[in-house]
Amino acid sequence: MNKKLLLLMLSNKQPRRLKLIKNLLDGKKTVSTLFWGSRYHMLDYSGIMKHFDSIKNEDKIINELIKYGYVFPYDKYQYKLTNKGKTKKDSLIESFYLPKELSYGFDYDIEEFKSRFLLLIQVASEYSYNNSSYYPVQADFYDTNLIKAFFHKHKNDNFVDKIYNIINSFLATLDKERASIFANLMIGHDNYGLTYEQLSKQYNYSQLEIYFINIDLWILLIRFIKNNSSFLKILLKNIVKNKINESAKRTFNELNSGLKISSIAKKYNLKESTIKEHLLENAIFLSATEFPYNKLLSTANISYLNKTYLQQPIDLWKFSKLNDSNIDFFKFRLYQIMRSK
Amino acid sequence: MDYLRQNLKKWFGFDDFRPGQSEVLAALNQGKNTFGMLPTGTGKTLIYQLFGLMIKKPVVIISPLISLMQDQVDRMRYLGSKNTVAITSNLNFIEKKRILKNLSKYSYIYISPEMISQSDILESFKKLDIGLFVIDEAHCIVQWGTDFRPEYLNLHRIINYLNNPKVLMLTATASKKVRYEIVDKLGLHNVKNIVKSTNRSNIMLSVEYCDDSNDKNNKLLSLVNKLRSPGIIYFSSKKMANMVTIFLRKEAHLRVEAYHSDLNNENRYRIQHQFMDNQIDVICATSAFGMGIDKNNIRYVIHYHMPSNIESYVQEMGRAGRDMDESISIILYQKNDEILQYNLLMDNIPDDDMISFYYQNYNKLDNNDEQTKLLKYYYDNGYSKDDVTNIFQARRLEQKDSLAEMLSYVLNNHCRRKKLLTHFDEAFDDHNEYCCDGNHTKLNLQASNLIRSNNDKIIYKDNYDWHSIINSLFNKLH
Ligand SMILES: [Zn+2]
Repeated sequence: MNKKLLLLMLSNKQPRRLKLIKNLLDGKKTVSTLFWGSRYHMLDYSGIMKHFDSIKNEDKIINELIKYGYVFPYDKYQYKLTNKGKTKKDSLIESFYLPKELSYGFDYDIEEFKSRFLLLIQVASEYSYNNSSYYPVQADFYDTNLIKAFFHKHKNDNFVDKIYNIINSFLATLDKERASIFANLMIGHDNYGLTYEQLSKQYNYSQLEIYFINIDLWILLIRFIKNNSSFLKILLKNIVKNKINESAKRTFNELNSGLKISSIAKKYNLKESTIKEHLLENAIFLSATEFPYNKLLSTANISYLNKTYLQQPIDLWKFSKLNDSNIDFFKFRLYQIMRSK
Repeated sequence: MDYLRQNLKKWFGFDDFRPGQSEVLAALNQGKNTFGMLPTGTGKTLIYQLFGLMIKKPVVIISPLISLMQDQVDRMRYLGSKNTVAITSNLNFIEKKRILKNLSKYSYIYISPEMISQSDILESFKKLDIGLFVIDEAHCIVQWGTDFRPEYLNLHRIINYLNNPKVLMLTATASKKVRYEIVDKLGLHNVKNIVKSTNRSNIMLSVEYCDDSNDKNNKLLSLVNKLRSPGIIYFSSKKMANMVTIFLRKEAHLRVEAYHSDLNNENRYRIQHQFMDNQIDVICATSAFGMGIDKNNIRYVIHYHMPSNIESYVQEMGRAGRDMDESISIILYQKNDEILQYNLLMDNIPDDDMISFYYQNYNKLDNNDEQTKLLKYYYDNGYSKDDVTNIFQARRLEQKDSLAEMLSYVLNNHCRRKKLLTHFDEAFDDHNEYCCDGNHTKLNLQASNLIRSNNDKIIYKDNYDWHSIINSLFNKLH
């Protein structure tokens, strides 16, 4: 992981777990990762490192940050920024490129979309030169067939001009630098674009920042197609996904229709603990009014929990304080999420 | 014009075959199982591509290079054979089913020995009227393939099961003994052998002896500054490939890129094609990471680390001079380099402790490293612990011997070509200043047009304006 990125992910007010940040950026989706990700206000960044270098050397990097005086260990697992670290972070926010277009509610399958789009551009580009003998960029079987079928359906109907116009109007919405970077990602007739490393030298960004710029560009294009181009809508098939996964959503609907946790578990042949995880996942992503907390926490539960915890900051609540009650960890975490909203 | 050449002209537009191509085709036309040993760069693909067009029946190609199979498919399509498919483990269940259902619609089907051993796949192939059964890189049958996968030993049974289709074995690197073993292991009879010399006479051979790593880097630098581009430098490790890339960019003012398995598909594509398009002068590559493209005008191949066996060396240096122009292969050797190679080789083979541990803890292990996968393969196929211990012991010895042979080539001070060809049971006695730098010979690089001249200007990309890039992409420049 990059030093600057880790510094940006830490805070001077809130101690944060190093392992958790790593898991979140790598795209781990356990309830605990998601919960703490939301506590850190970092849920948007979930999975952003998945297609770059996986994070391996976070311990080494944190030690370097400590050595520079930017960070101090709060306890065995958590770290905080020093004042010097906070100043550094403030200046990095100005200079380091972090993705800006990520969405709270949606995951974009950028890799899949990119491979479709690059193939489409190549097909159109070679077609515009009447060349049918070339090495296609690699896409999986499904995407190759998708683009092939699309091309054969439309190739006699101003195909090249349509694509050309869409690209041009998309690039016109971007600043000059990002438009140029995007153009240099395209592959086509006698054009092979630039690698991340070559882009990083040309535009004076680190490779990680180039990767982040890429993420933004592809998301912007996805949104552009969604709003402006019915012609290319086919490229978006299965690309935009709700952050709450399908089975968790199903569980949520069953709860709303009146089923109890135990009945949902039985109906779908799942463990109760899995159903509870589904519900927590929903609670994390939904707003306070969208999630029916009162179906799962009784008034008595809530007043007991209020009495036990309300005097303390949420991050510091300990489940062990509930040893004498009949409130389980699920209800404790759910209450914690409710109070976080 | 004879029948074969008419077809060559008709399908590919060439007037003449390269050495060996037409003889192999003639043997196949006579209905014979054929062994083609043709030097690197002589267009082995063209043989089965043309044969497939002539007989209008599917050609099945067994290929050991799983990582390169998609590249081979792309190359076949590029060369005009659009009905080509690779059946690899990358396909998901539905894709695999769909391809198997339509198998007879494909003209060329690439598949690994592993995949064709699966029963559902084998059944689909049995229904196929196979026109030719090609075993590419046939020397892998004896060497257990690049990852020593024993599936190659099944090919005998598979060929029988498929009602003995006509078999074509192809390789660029097999000694007489190896050729005999291949045919024997496949259980074939009456095989027609077409054997051409392994010698690539337009590639000069050189070994530079270096005092230490500093000396090696300086020698490398002066070589890349002196020699005409483009070139490839081979390394045994990604780390060294990266370090030398940075070093050469700084010191040599050439366009240098690293090329190894850390590249994702997209960047790999970009670098391969920038290289094809002469936008890159030097590629720093690891030997393990194959190149899916055929670049004709590579002028030099440098081995920063010595190869681990003669076969790999012949394959890698054989990338030079495919346009038949003068080229050069240079091994940089520093004392004890072979120890590095030895350690790398041994690291790839599970040792006795690991084998025991695996067999005792089979159920509990879920790591996915190469060694575990390999052991799992043998375990799943019913090999006992003792079998596996013996197999790997034999493999270690084999690799040690191969490395020793490579080292003896590197340390040889007489004609290097003679030494290399001896390995393939060939005689050679034409040593001169265009052959090699053994026998205290100084190579004549100047007359071979291998020295960079002032005309070899490097043009850096300077067009970054998005309008003009998009216009050029879609043929709108005018
Ligand atoms: Zn010689």
